[in-house]
Parts: sequence; C-alpha cells; structure tokens
Amino acid sequence: MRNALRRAVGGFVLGIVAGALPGMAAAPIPHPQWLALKAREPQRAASALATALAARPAPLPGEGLAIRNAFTTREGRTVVRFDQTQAGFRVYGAMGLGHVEADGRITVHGKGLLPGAVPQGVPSLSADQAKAIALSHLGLKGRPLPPKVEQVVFPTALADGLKAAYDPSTRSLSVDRTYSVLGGRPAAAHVWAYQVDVFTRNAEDGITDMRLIIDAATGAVLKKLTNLQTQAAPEVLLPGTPAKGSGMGQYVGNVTLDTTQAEDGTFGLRDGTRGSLPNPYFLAYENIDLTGITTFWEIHTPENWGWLSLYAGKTANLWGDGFPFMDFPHEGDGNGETAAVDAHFGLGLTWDMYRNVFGREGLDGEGTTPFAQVHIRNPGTGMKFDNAMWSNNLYGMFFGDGTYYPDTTFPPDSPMPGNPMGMMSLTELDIAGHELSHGLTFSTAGLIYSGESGGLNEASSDIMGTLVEAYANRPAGQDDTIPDYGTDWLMGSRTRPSGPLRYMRKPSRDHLSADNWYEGLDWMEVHYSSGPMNRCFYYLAQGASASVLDETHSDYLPGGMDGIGNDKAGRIWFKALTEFMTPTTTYVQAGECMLEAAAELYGAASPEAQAVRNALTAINVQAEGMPLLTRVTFPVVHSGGVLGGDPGEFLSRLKIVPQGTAVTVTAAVLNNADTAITLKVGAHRATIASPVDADPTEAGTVNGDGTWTAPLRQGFFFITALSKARPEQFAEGLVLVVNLDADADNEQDAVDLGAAAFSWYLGQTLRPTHSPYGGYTVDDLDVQLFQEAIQTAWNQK
Amino acid sequence: MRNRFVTFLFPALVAALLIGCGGSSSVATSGPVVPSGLTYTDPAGSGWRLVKDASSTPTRLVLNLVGPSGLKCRGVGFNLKAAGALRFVALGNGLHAVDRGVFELKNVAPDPLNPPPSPEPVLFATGVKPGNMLTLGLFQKDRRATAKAVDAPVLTIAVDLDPARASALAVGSTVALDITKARIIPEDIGSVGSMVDMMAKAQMVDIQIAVGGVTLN
Repeated sequence: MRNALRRAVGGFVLGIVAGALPGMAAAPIPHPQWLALKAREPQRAASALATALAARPAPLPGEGLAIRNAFTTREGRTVVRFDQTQAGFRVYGAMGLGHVEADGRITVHGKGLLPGAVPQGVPSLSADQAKAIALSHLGLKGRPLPPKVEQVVFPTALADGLKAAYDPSTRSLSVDRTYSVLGGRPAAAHVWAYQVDVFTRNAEDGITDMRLIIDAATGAVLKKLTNLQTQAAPEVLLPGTPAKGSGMGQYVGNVTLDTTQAEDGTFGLRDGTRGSLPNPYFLAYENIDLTGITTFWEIHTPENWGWLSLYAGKTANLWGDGFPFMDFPHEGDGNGETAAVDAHFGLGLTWDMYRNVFGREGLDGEGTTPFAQVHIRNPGTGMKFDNAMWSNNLYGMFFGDGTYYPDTTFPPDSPMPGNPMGMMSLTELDIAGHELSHGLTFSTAGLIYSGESGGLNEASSDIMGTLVEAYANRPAGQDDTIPDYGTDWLMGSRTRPSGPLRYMRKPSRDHLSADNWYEGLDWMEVHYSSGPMNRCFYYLAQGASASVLDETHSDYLPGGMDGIGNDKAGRIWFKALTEFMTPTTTYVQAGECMLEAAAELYGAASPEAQAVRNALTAINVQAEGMPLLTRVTFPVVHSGGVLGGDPGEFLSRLKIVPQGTAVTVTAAVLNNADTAITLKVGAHRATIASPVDADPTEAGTVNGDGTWTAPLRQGFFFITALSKARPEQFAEGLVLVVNLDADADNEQDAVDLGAAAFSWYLGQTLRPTHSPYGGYTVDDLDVQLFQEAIQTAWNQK
Repeated sequence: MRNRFVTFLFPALVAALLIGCGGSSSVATSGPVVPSGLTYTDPAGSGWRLVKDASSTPTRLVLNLVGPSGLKCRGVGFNLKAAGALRFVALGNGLHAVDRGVFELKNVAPDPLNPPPSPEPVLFATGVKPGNMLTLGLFQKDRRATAKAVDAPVLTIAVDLDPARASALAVGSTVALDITKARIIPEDIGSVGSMVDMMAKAQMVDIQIAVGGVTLN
C-alpha cells in the first residue's frame, strides 16, 4: 500500500500526523482558497518542519532540519523542502520533504536524508582560505564575480575522484583531467567542508559557473561540478507599461511578443507580465532591479566585449527579420533581434505552461525573474558558440548562434571555414524550454549534475522542452492542457541540419545515448545517460510497440503498452520532480517518485499508475509491483583513496592494469538461479545502444574462465557481462590499461616508478612515457595509477 | 640440536662397530632430511648489498638493502628473482618491503592552495611477477627534496622458506636469489631552470646489488 510512512533511513523514520491516511490528491481548489493557503504558507511550512523534527526517533546531537523553500500546488498541497543540518550547517546533497494538504494533514518523507551526518572536530580553514583554494584550482584568466562560500557537512561518499570523458568522435573514453579531483576520499563518512561557487562573465573566461567542495581540514578539493547546464538603491531596468509587440523568429515565425513601452514611448524586450520578483544575480551583483523576463544581447565590440545590451529604444514594437543571424555587428539590429524573438517567445511560453498547466508561477513558484542572453560567443576564440546554457548562480539562460555553414568554404569575413555539422541559433522552442526547465529543477529537486541524478536532470529538461513544443500547438482557448500532438519528439530538430540533438523515442539513434538502464549507465555524460528516462517518458505518453520492427519496441516489455497522453504523463513527471525527487535521486528512485505522483493524481490502482510501471519496466528499471528483474553486477574494486568511488558509482568497479598483463574478470548475477555469464571486451563502443557490440579491435577476447590479457595499448576498455539466462540483462565495467614502462626499457616493473619522478609536476613531461596513460603532465594521479596497476597485476597474497 | 644429535650418534656407532664385531647389535635407518630452515651469508664488499637483519629467524630471512658509503641518491628500485623454494613476504599494507625512512617520499613543500591528496600517493610499490620475481621501487617524487646518504638500511625485505617446494631439495643446497635489474635516481637530475639540462639527466643509473648466499638447512 502506498502511504506516506516511508521506509526508515538510518535514524529517520518519519510519520504521519493526525490519523487519517492520505488518499488521492484532490482536484484543483478554488482560487480564493488557494490564495488563503498561499498566504499561510510560512505557517504551514513551519508545521511541517515541526512534524518532521518530532518524528525523528533518536536524533543525534546537533542534528536538525531547516526549511529550504516551499510552494503550494493548485490542489492546495504545500510542498516543503528541508535541508538536513548539523550544528546549523547544511548537509550537502541531503533533502527531506513535507506535504501539508489543504485540510492540514501532514506527511513527511525522509528518503532523501542521510543518516548520521556528524563530522568530527571543527574546520581548520577559514571561508576565505577555501575561496582562495578554489580560485587557485580553477586558474581563471580573468576576474570572477564575488564567489559564494558556504560551510557544509559533506558526505564523503559523494566525493569525486578519477573522471572519464567520452569523446563521441572516437566513441572512446579518456581520463578527464578537468573534472578529475585528486583530493582523495577522507576516511570519515562525513567531514566539514566549504561549498564554493565561482562564476564569471568576462571577456577572458566567458560565462562560467563552477561549484567546488573544499575539505575544511586539509584544503583538498573533494568534488567539482559545473553549475552551467547546457540549451543602487538598485536601478529598475526598463520601467514602463506592458505592450504587445510583433516578432518574426527564425523558428517560431510571426508571433506576438510581450514587451514594455518605456516612458519615452519606445519599446523594449522586457515582459512585465511574467516575473514578479527581481532576478537575484542582477540585484546582488549589478545593483539592478530586473523584474519581468528580459532578453539581452552580448556585445562584441573590442572595447565592450561580453557586456550585455538591452533590446530597447525602438520606436516601433516590431522585432526580428526571421532570417538566420548574419554575424557581427548585427547583434543589435533587426537581424540580430531574430534570435531574441525566438528566445523571448520561448521563455514566455514555458512560463505559461508552468502557470496554466501545472499551476506554478515561474521556476521557483514565486515568480523570480530569469533572463535570456543571445549571441553569446566562445570566450577563448571569440567565435560563434554551438550550445545553450542555464546558470544557477546567474539565474539566466545563454544562447549561442551556432557555427553552421552549408559547406566548408569560408563564410564572409570569417577566419574559420564553414561547419556543415554545426548548429544554427540554439533558440529553437524546445531548447528554450529545456534550458529554462533547468531552473525549475534547480529550484525543486536539485538533482546533482553527475551520475544518474545528472542524467535525470537532463531528461527532465528534455521532457519539459518537448512538452513546451506540444503546448505551442494547443488549440485556441485550451491553455490548461498539453495536447497529444504538436511535438516531433526530437530535441533541436531544426537547430542542426545534420540531425537533431537527441531522439526521445529511440535515444540510441544518436549513437551516443543509452536506451535502457543498466549497471554502468552512471559513467556516461549526463546528456547521454538521460536517454532511458527520455524514452520512458515517451512510452508513458505515447506507448510502446509490440512489433520488433518498430523503433519504439522494447525487449524489456515485448508486448508493448498504451500511452496515457502527453498531458497526463507531463503532470506525473512534473509532480514527481517538484514534490518527490531530491538531489541524489537515482533511476530506481525516480520510478518510485513517478508512481507516488501517479497514485496521488489518478489512484494507485489506476491505468495511469500501471502505465508508469509498464514504462519503467520497458527501460529496465525495477518498478514496485512488477516481477523481479535479473541483474548483473561487477564487484567493487576500490572504495577509497584518490581513485575511490562511492560503491554505487562505476569508478568503484574500475580496474587499473598494466598493458600485456593477465586480468581476471568476474561478475555476479542476481535474482536468477542461473548465474552463468558471457563476457565481452571492446576498445570503444560500436553503438551505444548495445554495449555488447563493443568493437573488439585491439582488445582481444575474454576467455570462458574470465581471463583476459590486457592489450599492448593504453586506454579505457569496456567490459560487458551478460546473463546467459537473460541476455538482455548486462552490466558494463571498465578497465584502464596503462603503460608502466616509464623508463622505456621494454619491461614494466616497479623500477619504472623512478622515471615518473623526473617529470612530476614539472608542467610538462620530459618524456611522454613518464605518464602511464600518456598524459601531458605527471602528477599524483599518475603516481596513484602506477601504484594501483602494480598492485592489481602483481599482488601476491 | 640436530647437529649435536648426529655428533653423539657417530661415536656410539663407532663404538658399537668396534666392540660388537659379530655381535647382533643393529642401527635403524631413516629417510632423507627435509630442509626446514635458511642460512644466509652476507655478501662481501661495500657497494650496494643485501645484508641479513638481526630479526631473521631460522625460516625467515630478513634482508636490508644498504648502499655504499659516500653515495647520495634519490631512490632505488630493483628486480630480485628467487628460486621456487623461497617465498617473498608481504610485510605490511600489502607491500613486500618496509621503507626505512631514508628518502623523502612526499611533496616536500605543498602549496597550501593546492594541497596534496589524502592519503598522498608516493612512488613506493612492490609486486611479485610471474617467475617468483620481486619488483620493488622506492623513489623521491619531488625533485626539491635533497638526495640522501644510503649507507644505512634504506629498505627491508623478507623471504620465507616454502616448505612444500623445499622438500624436493637437499639440505645444504644453495638456492638462487639474483638481482636482474637495479637502478637509482642519481643525485644530479639537472637544474630546474634548464629544460635541456633536465632532459639530459632524466635517466636512472644502473647499479649492482650484491646478494649473499642462501643455503637450505
């Protein structure tokens, strides 16, 4: 029975207040009643907090909860998110939830909390010292905006270590030195740390937004993430009155735009009808009260490179010429306005969908204003940019113009040849909806942007962007419903002439994304690990085919399923994201959240809830109430040190071995009496859809007894273990083959360690062999790889 | 004790033979003696050598690597191949050697704004390769650390008698313990200010390590 009494998480068993069990969420309540509940939101949130605090059976000294934010749904539920605290400091990645219903019933959910988060001692470093460490680590070329520093309790299970970067052009992995951190996992389960956010908008670094976790005792960098998710008394910006204008976008065509007429009678692209609270970045860092969605352009004159300029001062409320952007210096004229029309319209439409369909005022439910900036450039080269981004700290979206050119000749006045594989302006409607929806996730679930939670973060934006596209095609007057048509289920289908950015129906069509969940999915870049949830949403909305010839067929649900329509599927996802998910939510947990949402909206035994179970099963996610699935799993190799990983992460299973040495590969089969496996190895992926098709070139083969001789080539190799009983179930592991022959005497041994010392932290290697994986420099990561490879290969017990 | 027994027995046998010619006395025969211990003779010379440590036991040889007097270097590595009757011993932390603290293995002047990882990886590793060969490396990674005198033990290893394999050998047999490769990082590794100088001197130097005789007893 689905109820609000969650399973225990360590010491947190959180329960229900006031005996009645919660049932299905009620329909939307009358607006005056909603306003009354909204007005009492602080008191209701406080009640939820009191309930959550009282429900803890044996809190540790100093353990607490603090309200992060709250919003009230149209059904009259106030959703309260709690930060877990210790001695008043936030526990990173931990989040509790409270639901206060319209009738006052309270349920609290603790599955996002982390038990026993009590670090020892006190910080040795100051916040200023942590800030200095972060700035030194990032090595920025220009001056950043003032960093934000917060002391936190950091669960060391979330620490990073070695990171791998996927090169789609070669379909292979390499060591990612940008995001690898060598701090090493502290032995304690929780430590004091500082969360330092460093963000820039300058000519030297461009737009960056990085988050580092610094160990408050040692100063080591424990985690490194991007906050950029890629698609006076303060001066009041562009005061005036709302006015309707006309725009001609490249993608949206001729549209009505919500603008502002200034006091002097001129018009500007500020929409005062959407956004009632000022943008926090502009208020804090520019001393500007920016209220109402506003679209800017980026200046590219040498003296003002990177500065923002308003689209304003026009005597006629007419914007854009509908044609692709020509290039500098047209950013501010009619041609440059075209991208602004698409962006401005897309942001407004997304805002309307949140408001009219889901009952939410903006990203945070309070109407805080985001902004859009078009024509952004690559800060290093000054060239056009093939991406769009959302920044949490800047609270805005940034759109590149794209590098597309129909052939490889030189475009007029361009020093670079044309790029037929590039993109056009990244202001297409679904991309605009995608980017703005990162702000929605930031304000609610806060899904951490790496691993499975990162893939879910990206999937959520793809889902929202797709729904915006459908919403744009709704019948007139039906503003509160998302139609079942109107989207092509392709992300950015018109942005890149060579093909869309992603395929929701069959993600693997891009040869990069996964179709289904498997152990090992979490190593993928988040834009590719989003594939399974994208596909799940498609199945939920539109169904799956029973025909193996159809691209929507699933081997995990061979009989297919019926969809429930875009509107119902969207409501389930929105509710799951905003009311149930937390920063560390995994695919399995996301499925649980979707079932919770479906049960509340339509009933636990409803066809909609069953459709959720079917859709999850179709992407190989174990769903409550469905048959237990066979699973394949690799053993954990290491769980600490520089290369240590959370046992749930793929790097905890990574083996480091010297080239040409014998390796024994083992994997376990769970939930099946037949534990036989088939093992395959490949140098790189033939297709991402089927890791088992990994290209065996240069990789050799795994023998029946699991032994494999690492080839005489350094690099990552994919190892796949399939269940013989259920071949559609598999796990993917990795082996990093290194060349220990640092002294180049054709023999790998511990004597080679000495050669590494000659190049250690010199800035470049004296000889390439000094790095075991051929890196440009030699540092402690290389030292660790040497040690671990020797230990793996020649550790006699 | 065994030696003493044999000594006592021999005169008794002689007396019996001398006294009892034609008598009916007899001596029970026994099987071949299985080796149960190791004897090590330190090598001669004053260069790099493996010398026996006082903590050795009859079945375990504990050997210290000592360098020549007057030499300074920045670390040493070697491969030591042993006969099958010997087994290299893991001495702690999964390593087959103990660092005696002569060399400075860590970052000697860490940047407080970029502190080393914790635990800090160091250039010290051991393994036993196929063919019963110990491979060992112990080096200073930070060129800012000065070279160290090596005339005291720099590291310690240990080998045990493998009784099962030794049973095929006779008491008194010598067993092989051979250095197949040995190198040091020399004192002069070039001036940081000159890439040309550093590149020219980025080479380890071959050395000879003398190993004493190992006998089964």
